[in-house]
Amino acid sequence: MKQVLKRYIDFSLRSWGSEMTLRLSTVIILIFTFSVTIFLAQSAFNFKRVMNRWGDNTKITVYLAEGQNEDTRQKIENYLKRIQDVESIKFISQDEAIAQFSKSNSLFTNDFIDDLKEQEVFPESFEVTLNGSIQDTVYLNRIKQVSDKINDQIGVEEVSYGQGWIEKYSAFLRLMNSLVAIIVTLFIAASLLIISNLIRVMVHNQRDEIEILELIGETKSNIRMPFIIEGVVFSVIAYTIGLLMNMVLFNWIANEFAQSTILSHLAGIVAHPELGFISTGLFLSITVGLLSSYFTARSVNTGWALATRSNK
Amino acid sequence: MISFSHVYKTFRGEVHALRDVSFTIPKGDFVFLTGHSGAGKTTLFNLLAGFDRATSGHVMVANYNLADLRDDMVPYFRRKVGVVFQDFKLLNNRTVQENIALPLEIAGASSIMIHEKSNQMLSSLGIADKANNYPDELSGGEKQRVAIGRALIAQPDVIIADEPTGNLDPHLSREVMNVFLKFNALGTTVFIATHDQNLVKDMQKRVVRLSKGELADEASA
Ligand SMILES: Nc1ncnc2c1ncn2[C@@H]1O[C@H](COP(=O)(O)OP(=O)(O)OP(=O)(O)O)[C@@H](O)[C@H]1O
Ligand SMILES: [Mg+2]
Repeated sequence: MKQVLKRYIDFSLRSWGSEMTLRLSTVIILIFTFSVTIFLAQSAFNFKRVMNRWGDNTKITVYLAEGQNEDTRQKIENYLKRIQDVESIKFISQDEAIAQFSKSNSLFTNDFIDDLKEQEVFPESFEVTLNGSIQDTVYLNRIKQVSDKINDQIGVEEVSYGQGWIEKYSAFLRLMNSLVAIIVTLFIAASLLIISNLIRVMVHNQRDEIEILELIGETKSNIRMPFIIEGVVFSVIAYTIGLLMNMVLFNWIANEFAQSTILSHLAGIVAHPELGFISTGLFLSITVGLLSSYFTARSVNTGWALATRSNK
Repeated sequence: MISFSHVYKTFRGEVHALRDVSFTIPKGDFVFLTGHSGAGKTTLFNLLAGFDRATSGHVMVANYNLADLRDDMVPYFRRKVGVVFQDFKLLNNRTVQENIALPLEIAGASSIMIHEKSNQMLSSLGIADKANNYPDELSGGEKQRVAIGRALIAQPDVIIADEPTGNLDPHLSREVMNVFLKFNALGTTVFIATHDQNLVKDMQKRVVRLSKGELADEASA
Protein backbone atom coordinates (compact mmCIF):
# COMPACT_ATOMS: atom_id res chain seq x y z
CA MET A 1 0.00 0.00 0.00
CA LYS A 2 2.77 2.39 0.98
CA GLN A 3 4.63 1.39 -2.14
CA VAL A 4 1.56 2.01 -4.28
CA LEU A 5 1.03 5.45 -2.77
CA LYS A 6 4.68 6.35 -3.20
CA ARG A 7 4.48 5.31 -6.82
CA TYR A 8 1.37 7.37 -7.33
CA ILE A 9 2.90 10.48 -5.76
CA ASP A 10 6.00 10.03 -7.91
CA PHE A 11 3.87 9.60 -10.98
CA SER A 12 1.71 12.53 -10.08
CA LEU A 13 4.60 14.93 -9.49
CA ARG A 14 6.50 13.77 -12.53
CA SER A 15 3.60 14.30 -14.88
CA TRP A 16 2.30 17.39 -13.12
CA GLY A 17 3.90 19.92 -15.41
CA SER A 18 2.97 18.29 -18.68
CA GLU A 19 -0.59 17.44 -17.67
CA MET A 20 -1.37 20.52 -15.61
CA THR A 21 -3.87 22.12 -17.98
CA LEU A 22 -5.63 18.86 -18.59
CA ARG A 23 -5.82 18.08 -14.89
CA LEU A 24 -6.99 21.52 -13.89
CA SER A 25 -9.68 21.68 -16.54
CA THR A 26 -10.85 18.20 -15.65
CA VAL A 27 -11.04 18.95 -11.96
CA ILE A 28 -12.96 22.17 -12.61
CA ILE A 29 -15.53 20.42 -14.80
CA LEU A 30 -15.79 17.60 -12.27
CA ILE A 31 -16.30 20.05 -9.43
CA PHE A 32 -19.09 21.64 -11.43
CA THR A 33 -20.88 18.36 -12.18
CA PHE A 34 -20.44 17.06 -8.65
CA SER A 35 -21.63 20.34 -7.11
CA VAL A 36 -24.79 20.37 -9.19
CA THR A 37 -25.41 16.72 -8.40
CA ILE A 38 -24.89 17.25 -4.69
CA PHE A 39 -27.01 20.39 -4.79
CA LEU A 40 -29.93 18.56 -6.39
CA ALA A 41 -29.73 15.57 -4.11
CA GLN A 42 -29.33 17.75 -1.03
CA SER A 43 -32.26 19.95 -2.10
CA ALA A 44 -34.49 16.91 -2.57
CA PHE A 45 -33.53 15.62 0.86
CA ASN A 46 -34.08 18.97 2.49
CA PHE A 47 -37.41 19.36 0.80
CA LYS A 48 -38.58 16.04 2.19
CA ARG A 49 -37.31 16.89 5.64
CA VAL A 50 -39.13 20.19 5.57
CA MET A 51 -42.32 18.51 4.43
CA ASN A 52 -42.01 15.96 7.20
CA ARG A 53 -41.66 18.73 9.72
CA TRP A 54 -44.67 20.53 8.35
CA GLY A 55 -46.76 17.52 7.54
CA ASP A 56 -46.43 16.21 11.08
CA ASN A 57 -49.25 13.80 11.63
CA THR A 58 -51.85 13.11 9.02
CA LYS A 59 -55.44 13.85 9.97
CA ILE A 60 -58.51 12.20 8.54
CA THR A 61 -61.87 13.80 9.12
CA VAL A 62 -64.79 11.40 9.23
CA TYR A 63 -68.05 13.32 8.66
CA LEU A 64 -71.13 11.66 10.05
CA ALA A 65 -74.42 11.51 8.24
CA GLU A 66 -77.13 13.78 9.59
CA GLY A 67 -79.06 12.79 12.67
CA GLN A 68 -77.06 9.82 13.96
CA ASN A 69 -77.93 8.42 17.34
CA GLU A 70 -75.45 7.88 20.15
CA ASP A 71 -75.26 4.17 19.35
CA THR A 72 -74.06 4.46 15.76
CA ARG A 73 -71.64 7.13 16.80
CA GLN A 74 -70.18 4.82 19.43
CA LYS A 75 -69.92 2.00 16.91
CA ILE A 76 -68.04 4.19 14.48
CA GLU A 77 -65.73 5.37 17.19
CA ASN A 78 -64.98 1.80 18.22
CA TYR A 79 -64.32 0.88 14.65
CA LEU A 80 -61.91 3.76 14.25
CA LYS A 81 -60.10 2.81 17.43
CA ARG A 82 -59.35 -0.63 16.08
CA ILE A 83 -57.63 0.67 12.98
CA GLN A 84 -53.87 0.30 13.02
CA ASP A 85 -51.81 3.49 13.05
CA VAL A 86 -54.57 5.53 14.64
CA GLU A 87 -53.02 7.73 17.23
CA SER A 88 -56.01 9.59 18.55
CA ILE A 89 -59.67 10.19 17.85
CA LYS A 90 -61.48 13.36 18.68
CA PHE A 91 -65.21 13.89 18.37
CA ILE A 92 -66.23 17.29 17.07
CA SER A 93 -69.84 18.25 17.59
CA GLN A 94 -71.70 20.68 15.39
CA ASP A 95 -71.21 23.50 17.84
CA GLU A 96 -67.54 22.90 18.15
CA ALA A 97 -67.19 22.82 14.40
CA ILE A 98 -68.88 26.16 14.11
CA ALA A 99 -66.82 27.59 16.92
CA GLN A 100 -63.64 26.45 15.22
CA PHE A 101 -64.74 27.89 11.95
CA SER A 102 -65.67 31.25 13.30
CA LYS A 103 -62.42 31.41 15.23
CA SER A 104 -60.33 30.84 12.19
CA ASN A 105 -62.50 33.03 10.00
CA SER A 106 -63.04 36.06 12.15
CA LEU A 107 -63.72 38.10 9.08
CA PHE A 108 -67.20 36.70 8.75
CA THR A 109 -70.02 38.37 10.61
CA ASN A 110 -71.97 36.61 13.26
CA ASP A 111 -75.06 36.79 11.09
CA PHE A 112 -73.38 34.80 8.37
CA ILE A 113 -72.28 32.17 10.85
CA ASP A 114 -75.71 31.88 12.38
CA ASP A 115 -76.96 31.37 8.88
CA LEU A 116 -74.60 28.46 8.38
CA LYS A 117 -75.68 26.97 11.67
CA GLU A 118 -79.28 26.95 10.62
CA GLN A 119 -78.57 25.28 7.34
CA GLU A 120 -76.58 22.63 9.18
CA VAL A 121 -73.57 23.08 6.93
CA PHE A 122 -71.34 21.72 9.67
CA PRO A 123 -71.96 18.07 10.30
CA GLU A 124 -70.66 16.19 13.30
CA SER A 125 -67.29 14.55 12.73
CA PHE A 126 -64.43 12.51 14.13
CA GLU A 127 -60.98 13.88 13.72
CA VAL A 128 -58.66 10.87 13.38
CA THR A 129 -54.95 11.45 13.77
CA LEU A 130 -52.68 8.88 12.22
CA ASN A 131 -49.10 8.07 13.10
CA GLY A 132 -46.51 9.45 10.72
CA SER A 133 -46.81 11.81 7.84
CA ILE A 134 -47.02 11.50 4.11
CA GLN A 135 -43.58 10.84 2.71
CA ASP A 136 -44.18 8.32 0.06
CA THR A 137 -46.81 6.69 -2.06
CA VAL A 138 -46.94 3.58 0.11
CA TYR A 139 -48.17 5.65 2.98
CA LEU A 140 -50.55 7.50 0.72
CA ASN A 141 -52.09 4.24 -0.49
CA ARG A 142 -52.51 3.10 3.07
CA ILE A 143 -54.45 6.26 3.89
CA LYS A 144 -56.63 5.73 0.86
CA GLN A 145 -57.43 2.16 1.91
CA VAL A 146 -58.23 3.16 5.48
CA SER A 147 -60.42 5.98 4.27
CA ASP A 148 -62.33 3.74 1.89
CA LYS A 149 -63.01 1.24 4.66
CA ILE A 150 -64.23 3.95 7.01
CA ASN A 151 -66.41 5.26 4.24
CA ASP A 152 -68.18 1.92 4.03
CA GLN A 153 -69.30 2.11 7.68
CA ILE A 154 -72.96 2.82 8.37
CA GLY A 155 -73.55 6.37 9.42
CA VAL A 156 -70.48 7.79 7.73
CA GLU A 157 -71.25 10.47 5.22
CA GLU A 158 -67.84 11.27 3.90
CA VAL A 159 -64.17 10.81 4.68
CA SER A 160 -61.78 13.58 3.98
CA TYR A 161 -58.02 13.44 4.14
CA GLY A 162 -57.37 16.41 1.97
CA GLN A 163 -57.49 14.18 -1.11
CA GLY A 164 -56.84 16.98 -3.50
CA TRP A 165 -53.64 18.35 -2.11
CA ILE A 166 -52.27 15.08 -0.83
CA GLU A 167 -52.51 13.54 -4.24
CA LYS A 168 -51.02 16.56 -5.88
CA TYR A 169 -48.26 16.58 -3.31
CA SER A 170 -47.49 12.95 -3.81
CA ALA A 171 -47.49 13.33 -7.57
CA PHE A 172 -45.14 16.24 -7.12
CA LEU A 173 -42.91 14.15 -4.87
CA ARG A 174 -42.81 11.40 -7.44
CA LEU A 175 -41.99 13.82 -10.21
CA MET A 176 -39.29 15.49 -8.13
CA ASN A 177 -37.76 12.16 -7.15
CA SER A 178 -37.59 10.85 -10.68
CA LEU A 179 -36.33 14.15 -12.02
CA VAL A 180 -33.56 14.26 -9.44
CA ALA A 181 -32.78 10.60 -10.11
CA ILE A 182 -32.54 11.22 -13.84
CA ILE A 183 -30.39 14.30 -13.51
CA VAL A 184 -28.11 12.68 -10.94
CA THR A 185 -27.72 9.64 -13.20
CA LEU A 186 -26.89 11.88 -16.13
CA PHE A 187 -24.33 13.77 -14.13
CA ILE A 188 -22.78 10.56 -12.86
CA ALA A 189 -22.57 9.29 -16.43
CA ALA A 190 -20.99 12.60 -17.42
CA SER A 191 -18.38 12.35 -14.68
CA LEU A 192 -17.61 8.80 -15.74
CA LEU A 193 -16.88 10.10 -19.22
CA ILE A 194 -14.91 13.09 -17.97
CA ILE A 195 -12.65 10.97 -15.78
CA SER A 196 -12.33 8.33 -18.44
CA ASN A 197 -11.27 11.03 -20.86
CA LEU A 198 -8.66 12.38 -18.45
CA ILE A 199 -7.14 8.94 -18.06
CA ARG A 200 -7.29 8.25 -21.78
CA VAL A 201 -5.46 11.46 -22.65
CA MET A 202 -2.89 10.96 -19.90
CA VAL A 203 -2.22 7.44 -21.06
CA HIS A 204 -1.94 8.67 -24.61
CA ASN A 205 0.54 11.38 -23.63
CA GLN A 206 2.62 8.87 -21.72
CA ARG A 207 2.46 6.12 -24.28
CA ASP A 208 6.23 6.03 -24.86
CA GLU A 209 6.90 5.92 -21.19
CA ILE A 210 4.41 3.12 -20.65
CA GLU A 211 6.02 1.15 -23.42
CA ILE A 212 9.49 1.60 -21.97
CA LEU A 213 8.28 0.48 -18.54
CA GLU A 214 6.70 -2.58 -20.15
CA LEU A 215 9.97 -3.42 -21.90
CA ILE A 216 11.99 -3.14 -18.74
CA GLY A 217 9.70 -5.60 -17.00
CA GLU A 218 7.19 -3.53 -15.09
CA THR A 219 3.95 -5.41 -14.56
CA LYS A 220 0.72 -4.37 -16.19
CA SER A 221 -0.98 -3.73 -12.90
CA ASN A 222 1.85 -1.53 -11.62
CA ILE A 223 1.75 0.49 -14.81
CA ARG A 224 -1.99 0.97 -14.58
CA MET A 225 -2.19 1.56 -10.86
CA PRO A 226 -1.20 5.25 -10.86
CA PHE A 227 -3.73 5.99 -13.60
CA ILE A 228 -6.47 4.23 -11.67
CA ILE A 229 -5.57 6.06 -8.46
CA GLU A 230 -5.50 9.28 -10.44
CA GLY A 231 -9.14 8.76 -11.41
CA VAL A 232 -10.17 8.08 -7.82
CA VAL A 233 -8.15 10.98 -6.43
CA PHE A 234 -9.65 13.45 -8.89
CA SER A 235 -13.14 12.18 -8.27
CA VAL A 236 -12.74 12.45 -4.51
CA ILE A 237 -11.12 15.89 -4.73
CA ALA A 238 -13.99 17.14 -6.88
CA TYR A 239 -16.54 15.58 -4.55
CA THR A 240 -14.95 17.10 -1.46
CA ILE A 241 -14.81 20.57 -2.98
CA GLY A 242 -18.34 20.20 -4.35
CA LEU A 243 -19.61 19.09 -0.95
CA LEU A 244 -17.89 21.98 0.85
CA MET A 245 -19.32 24.45 -1.65
CA ASN A 246 -22.79 23.03 -1.09
CA MET A 247 -22.36 23.13 2.69
CA VAL A 248 -21.47 26.79 2.45
CA LEU A 249 -24.44 27.43 0.19
CA PHE A 250 -26.94 25.60 2.39
CA ASN A 251 -25.51 27.26 5.46
CA TRP A 252 -26.20 30.57 3.81
CA ILE A 253 -29.76 29.51 2.94
CA ALA A 254 -30.23 28.36 6.53
CA ASN A 255 -29.05 31.73 7.78
CA GLU A 256 -31.53 33.46 5.51
CA PHE A 257 -34.24 31.19 6.91
CA ALA A 258 -33.16 31.89 10.44
CA GLN A 259 -33.68 35.58 9.91
CA SER A 260 -37.18 35.10 8.56
CA THR A 261 -39.91 34.81 11.18
CA ILE A 262 -41.96 32.17 9.39
CA LEU A 263 -39.12 29.92 8.26
CA SER A 264 -36.75 30.18 11.21
CA HIS A 265 -37.62 26.72 12.52
CA LEU A 266 -36.43 25.23 9.23
CA ALA A 267 -32.93 26.65 9.53
CA GLY A 268 -31.61 23.67 11.46
CA ILE A 269 -33.10 21.21 9.00
CA VAL A 270 -31.63 22.84 5.93
CA ALA A 271 -28.18 23.55 7.28
CA HIS A 272 -26.36 20.23 7.50
CA PRO A 273 -26.18 17.21 5.26
CA GLU A 274 -26.54 13.95 7.14
CA LEU A 275 -23.54 11.70 7.67
CA GLY A 276 -25.28 9.05 5.59
CA PHE A 277 -25.63 11.51 2.74
CA ILE A 278 -21.95 12.49 2.92
CA SER A 279 -20.70 8.91 3.04
CA THR A 280 -23.01 7.75 0.27
CA GLY A 281 -21.67 10.59 -1.86
CA LEU A 282 -18.10 9.67 -0.99
CA PHE A 283 -18.75 6.05 -1.84
CA LEU A 284 -20.33 7.06 -5.14
CA SER A 285 -17.48 9.36 -6.07
CA ILE A 286 -14.89 6.68 -5.31
CA THR A 287 -16.88 4.18 -7.34
CA VAL A 288 -17.23 6.58 -10.25
CA GLY A 289 -13.51 7.37 -10.22
CA LEU A 290 -12.52 3.75 -9.85
CA LEU A 291 -14.81 2.37 -12.52
CA SER A 292 -14.01 4.93 -15.18
CA SER A 293 -10.26 4.93 -14.65
CA TYR A 294 -10.05 1.17 -14.21
CA PHE A 295 -11.82 0.38 -17.42
CA THR A 296 -9.99 3.08 -19.33
CA ALA A 297 -6.56 2.12 -18.05
CA ARG A 298 -7.27 -1.57 -18.49
CA SER A 299 -7.69 -1.34 -22.20
CA VAL A 300 -4.66 0.81 -22.88
CA ASN A 301 -1.70 -1.32 -21.97
CA THR A 302 -1.42 -4.92 -22.94
CA GLY A 303 2.22 -5.55 -22.11
CA TRP A 304 2.86 -6.09 -25.80
CA ALA A 305 2.85 -2.54 -27.12
CA LEU A 306 6.00 -3.00 -29.16
CA ALA A 307 4.91 -6.31 -30.59
CA THR A 308 1.43 -5.08 -31.39
CA ARG A 309 2.82 -2.08 -33.18
CA SER A 310 5.41 -3.98 -35.19
CA ASN A 311 3.08 -6.80 -36.20
CA LYS A 312 0.10 -4.82 -37.34
CA MET B 1 21.25 -20.03 -21.79
CA ILE B 2 20.05 -18.83 -25.18
CA SER B 3 18.84 -21.14 -27.88
CA PHE B 4 17.13 -20.38 -31.16
CA SER B 5 15.82 -23.26 -33.19
CA HIS B 6 14.38 -22.81 -36.68
CA VAL B 7 13.12 -19.36 -35.82
CA TYR B 8 11.18 -17.38 -38.42
CA LYS B 9 9.92 -13.87 -38.06
CA THR B 10 7.74 -12.56 -40.82
CA PHE B 11 6.27 -9.08 -40.80
CA ARG B 12 3.19 -7.92 -42.60
CA GLY B 13 3.76 -7.71 -46.34
CA GLU B 14 5.89 -10.87 -46.42
CA VAL B 15 8.99 -9.25 -44.96
CA HIS B 16 11.07 -12.17 -43.73
CA ALA B 17 13.20 -10.49 -41.10
CA LEU B 18 14.47 -13.81 -39.80
CA ARG B 19 14.58 -17.09 -41.69
CA ASP B 20 15.32 -20.46 -40.14
CA VAL B 21 17.71 -19.08 -37.52
CA SER B 22 19.23 -21.66 -35.16
CA PHE B 23 22.09 -21.18 -32.70
CA THR B 24 22.87 -21.56 -29.02
CA ILE B 25 24.86 -19.47 -26.58
CA PRO B 26 25.95 -21.17 -23.37
CA LYS B 27 25.65 -19.45 -20.02
CA GLY B 28 28.41 -16.95 -19.33
CA ASP B 29 29.43 -16.46 -22.94
CA PHE B 30 30.33 -13.16 -24.54
CA VAL B 31 29.07 -13.06 -28.13
CA PHE B 32 28.84 -10.46 -30.88
CA LEU B 33 25.99 -10.26 -33.39
CA THR B 34 26.92 -8.66 -36.70
CA GLY B 35 25.26 -8.08 -40.03
CA HIS B 36 24.34 -5.35 -42.47
CA SER B 37 21.72 -2.81 -41.70
CA GLY B 38 18.39 -4.56 -42.10
CA ALA B 39 19.91 -8.00 -41.57
CA GLY B 40 17.55 -8.66 -38.66
CA LYS B 41 19.68 -7.94 -35.58
CA THR B 42 17.11 -5.83 -33.77
CA THR B 43 14.39 -8.28 -34.71
CA LEU B 44 16.41 -11.13 -33.23
CA PHE B 45 16.94 -9.17 -30.02
CA ASN B 46 13.25 -8.35 -29.79
CA LEU B 47 12.44 -12.05 -29.83
CA LEU B 48 15.21 -12.84 -27.40
CA ALA B 49 14.06 -10.25 -24.85
CA GLY B 50 10.41 -11.25 -25.02
CA PHE B 51 9.34 -8.03 -26.73
CA ASP B 52 7.85 -9.87 -29.67
CA ARG B 53 6.97 -13.45 -30.54
CA ALA B 54 8.47 -15.55 -33.29
CA THR B 55 6.24 -16.43 -36.24
CA SER B 56 7.47 -19.99 -35.90
CA GLY B 57 10.29 -21.91 -34.25
CA HIS B 58 11.45 -21.99 -30.65
CA VAL B 59 13.30 -19.44 -28.58
CA MET B 60 14.62 -20.57 -25.20
CA VAL B 61 16.18 -18.07 -22.83
CA ALA B 62 17.22 -18.80 -19.24
CA ASN B 63 15.07 -21.93 -19.25
CA TYR B 64 12.00 -20.08 -20.43
CA ASN B 65 10.39 -21.30 -23.62
CA LEU B 66 9.19 -17.98 -24.96
CA ALA B 67 6.54 -19.52 -27.18
CA ASP B 68 4.77 -20.89 -24.11
CA LEU B 69 5.37 -17.93 -21.83
CA ARG B 70 2.11 -16.79 -20.26
CA ASP B 71 1.30 -13.10 -20.71
CA ASP B 72 1.37 -12.40 -16.99
CA MET B 73 4.84 -13.95 -16.72
CA VAL B 74 6.30 -11.82 -19.48
CA PRO B 75 7.32 -8.89 -17.22
CA TYR B 76 9.17 -11.24 -14.87
CA PHE B 77 10.96 -12.83 -17.77
CA ARG B 78 11.94 -9.42 -19.12
CA ARG B 79 13.62 -8.57 -15.83
CA LYS B 80 16.05 -11.41 -16.43
CA VAL B 81 17.26 -9.81 -19.65
CA GLY B 82 18.96 -6.43 -19.55
CA VAL B 83 18.55 -4.59 -22.84
CA VAL B 84 20.48 -1.68 -24.28
CA PHE B 85 18.16 -0.36 -26.97
CA GLN B 86 19.44 0.94 -30.24
CA ASP B 87 17.38 4.09 -29.65
CA PHE B 88 18.14 4.13 -25.87
CA LYS B 89 14.49 4.40 -24.77
CA LEU B 90 15.25 6.63 -21.80
CA LEU B 91 12.47 8.24 -19.78
CA ASN B 92 12.67 11.96 -20.41
CA ASN B 93 10.94 13.00 -17.23
CA ARG B 94 13.42 11.19 -15.02
CA THR B 95 16.96 12.13 -14.18
CA VAL B 96 19.93 10.09 -15.31
CA GLN B 97 20.19 8.46 -11.92
CA GLU B 98 16.47 7.66 -11.82
CA ASN B 99 16.67 6.17 -15.29
CA ILE B 100 19.54 3.95 -14.33
CA ALA B 101 17.83 2.91 -11.11
CA LEU B 102 14.56 1.99 -12.81
CA PRO B 103 15.03 -1.80 -12.95
CA LEU B 104 15.90 -1.87 -9.25
CA GLU B 105 12.87 0.21 -8.48
CA ILE B 106 10.69 -2.14 -10.51
CA ALA B 107 12.15 -5.10 -8.67
CA GLY B 108 11.23 -3.41 -5.40
CA ALA B 109 14.75 -2.82 -4.05
CA SER B 110 15.23 -0.67 -0.97
CA SER B 111 16.05 2.97 -1.53
CA ILE B 112 19.44 2.61 0.16
CA MET B 113 20.40 -0.15 -2.22
CA ILE B 114 19.06 1.78 -5.19
CA HIS B 115 21.10 4.79 -4.18
CA GLU B 116 24.31 2.85 -3.66
CA LYS B 117 24.13 0.73 -6.78
CA SER B 118 23.15 3.57 -9.07
CA ASN B 119 25.98 5.75 -7.77
CA GLN B 120 28.39 2.93 -8.41
CA MET B 121 27.07 2.43 -11.91
CA LEU B 122 27.22 6.15 -12.67
CA SER B 123 30.89 6.33 -11.81
CA SER B 124 31.89 3.15 -13.61
CA LEU B 125 30.29 4.64 -16.74
CA GLY B 126 31.92 8.02 -16.22
CA ILE B 127 28.71 9.99 -15.98
CA ALA B 128 28.56 10.64 -12.23
CA ASP B 129 28.50 14.38 -12.87
CA LYS B 130 25.33 13.99 -14.93
CA ALA B 131 23.39 12.12 -12.26
CA ASN B 132 20.79 14.84 -11.85
CA ASN B 133 20.50 15.86 -15.49
CA TYR B 134 17.62 14.84 -17.70
CA PRO B 135 18.18 12.79 -20.88
CA ASP B 136 17.40 15.84 -23.06
CA GLU B 137 20.47 17.51 -21.63
CA LEU B 138 22.89 14.74 -22.61
CA SER B 139 25.03 14.05 -25.64
CA GLY B 140 24.41 10.91 -27.70
CA GLY B 141 27.28 9.10 -26.06
CA GLU B 142 26.11 10.03 -22.59
CA LYS B 143 22.61 8.80 -23.33
CA GLN B 144 24.06 5.58 -24.59
CA ARG B 145 25.92 5.08 -21.34
CA VAL B 146 22.76 5.75 -19.33
CA ALA B 147 21.02 3.08 -21.40
CA ILE B 148 23.86 0.68 -20.67
CA GLY B 149 23.76 1.45 -16.97
CA ARG B 150 20.04 0.76 -16.84
CA ALA B 151 20.48 -2.57 -18.63
CA LEU B 152 23.20 -3.72 -16.27
CA ILE B 153 22.21 -2.44 -12.87
CA ALA B 154 19.92 -5.27 -11.78
CA GLN B 155 22.52 -7.88 -12.77
CA PRO B 156 20.30 -9.74 -15.22
CA ASP B 157 21.09 -13.27 -16.40
CA VAL B 158 21.50 -12.05 -19.95
CA ILE B 159 22.52 -8.70 -21.34
CA ILE B 160 21.74 -7.84 -24.92
CA ALA B 161 22.99 -4.60 -26.35
CA ASP B 162 21.94 -3.22 -29.73
CA GLU B 163 24.76 -1.05 -31.06
CA PRO B 164 25.91 0.04 -27.59
CA THR B 165 28.96 1.81 -28.96
CA GLY B 166 27.37 3.47 -31.97
CA ASN B 167 27.78 6.95 -30.54
CA LEU B 168 31.02 6.45 -28.65
CA ASP B 169 34.59 7.25 -29.64
CA PRO B 170 37.08 4.36 -29.64
CA HIS B 171 38.35 5.21 -26.20
CA LEU B 172 34.86 5.28 -24.63
CA SER B 173 33.94 2.14 -26.56
CA ARG B 174 36.75 0.33 -24.80
CA GLU B 175 35.63 1.65 -21.45
CA VAL B 176 32.10 0.47 -22.06
CA MET B 177 33.32 -2.92 -23.24
CA ASN B 178 35.24 -3.21 -20.00
CA VAL B 179 32.03 -2.67 -18.08
CA PHE B 180 30.41 -5.45 -20.10
CA LEU B 181 33.40 -7.67 -19.48
CA LYS B 182 33.17 -6.99 -15.78
CA PHE B 183 29.58 -8.18 -15.69
CA ASN B 184 30.44 -11.08 -17.94
CA ALA B 185 33.08 -12.15 -15.46
CA LEU B 186 30.36 -12.24 -12.81
CA GLY B 187 28.53 -14.85 -14.90
CA THR B 188 26.22 -12.78 -17.01
CA THR B 189 25.76 -13.85 -20.61
CA VAL B 190 26.52 -10.94 -22.93
CA PHE B 191 25.24 -10.61 -26.50
CA ILE B 192 26.15 -7.46 -28.39
CA ALA B 193 25.03 -6.35 -31.83
CA THR B 194 27.49 -4.08 -33.58
CA HIS B 195 28.70 -2.77 -36.91
CA ASP B 196 32.07 -1.95 -35.49
CA GLN B 197 34.43 -4.50 -37.08
CA ASN B 198 37.45 -3.13 -35.27
CA LEU B 199 35.82 -3.67 -31.96
CA VAL B 200 34.89 -7.23 -32.89
CA LYS B 201 38.45 -7.92 -33.98
CA ASP B 202 39.93 -6.41 -30.82
CA MET B 203 37.75 -8.36 -28.46
CA GLN B 204 38.44 -11.80 -29.90
CA LYS B 205 35.06 -13.20 -28.99
CA ARG B 206 32.60 -15.48 -30.71
CA VAL B 207 30.59 -13.85 -33.51
CA VAL B 208 27.12 -14.69 -34.78
CA ARG B 209 26.52 -13.19 -38.21
CA LEU B 210 23.20 -12.48 -39.85
CA SER B 211 22.75 -11.85 -43.52
CA LYS B 212 19.35 -10.86 -44.86
CA GLY B 213 17.65 -12.66 -42.04
CA GLU B 214 19.63 -15.84 -42.29
CA LEU B 215 22.48 -17.07 -40.19
CA ALA B 216 25.78 -16.79 -42.06
CA ASP B 217 28.87 -18.87 -41.44
CA GLU B 218 30.07 -17.95 -37.96
CA ALA B 219 33.75 -18.28 -38.72
CA SER B 220 33.66 -15.81 -41.56
CA ALA B 221 33.05 -12.88 -39.24
N1 LIG C 1 7.84 -3.68 -37.48
C1 LIG C 1 8.28 -4.05 -38.69
N2 LIG C 1 7.44 -4.17 -39.71
C2 LIG C 1 7.86 -4.54 -40.93
N3 LIG C 1 9.12 -4.78 -41.20
C3 LIG C 1 10.04 -4.69 -40.22
C4 LIG C 1 9.66 -4.31 -38.90
N4 LIG C 1 10.77 -4.27 -38.13
C5 LIG C 1 11.79 -4.61 -38.93
N5 LIG C 1 11.35 -4.87 -40.17
C6 LIG C 1 12.17 -5.28 -41.31
O1 LIG C 1 12.89 -6.42 -40.91
C7 LIG C 1 14.24 -6.34 -41.41
C8 LIG C 1 15.22 -6.45 -40.26
O2 LIG C 1 15.13 -5.26 -39.46
P1 LIG C 1 16.02 -5.05 -38.18
O3 LIG C 1 15.56 -3.83 -37.51
O4 LIG C 1 16.00 -6.29 -37.40
O5 LIG C 1 17.45 -4.83 -38.81
P2 LIG C 1 18.83 -4.53 -38.08
O6 LIG C 1 19.74 -5.65 -38.42
O7 LIG C 1 18.61 -4.24 -36.67
O8 LIG C 1 19.33 -3.23 -38.84
P3 LIG C 1 20.18 -1.99 -38.26
O9 LIG C 1 21.59 -2.43 -38.25
O10 LIG C 1 19.96 -0.92 -39.26
O11 LIG C 1 19.64 -1.66 -36.94
C9 LIG C 1 14.33 -5.04 -42.19
O12 LIG C 1 14.15 -5.33 -43.55
C10 LIG C 1 13.20 -4.23 -41.67
O13 LIG C 1 12.70 -3.37 -42.65
MG1 LIG D 1 18.82 -2.62 -35.50
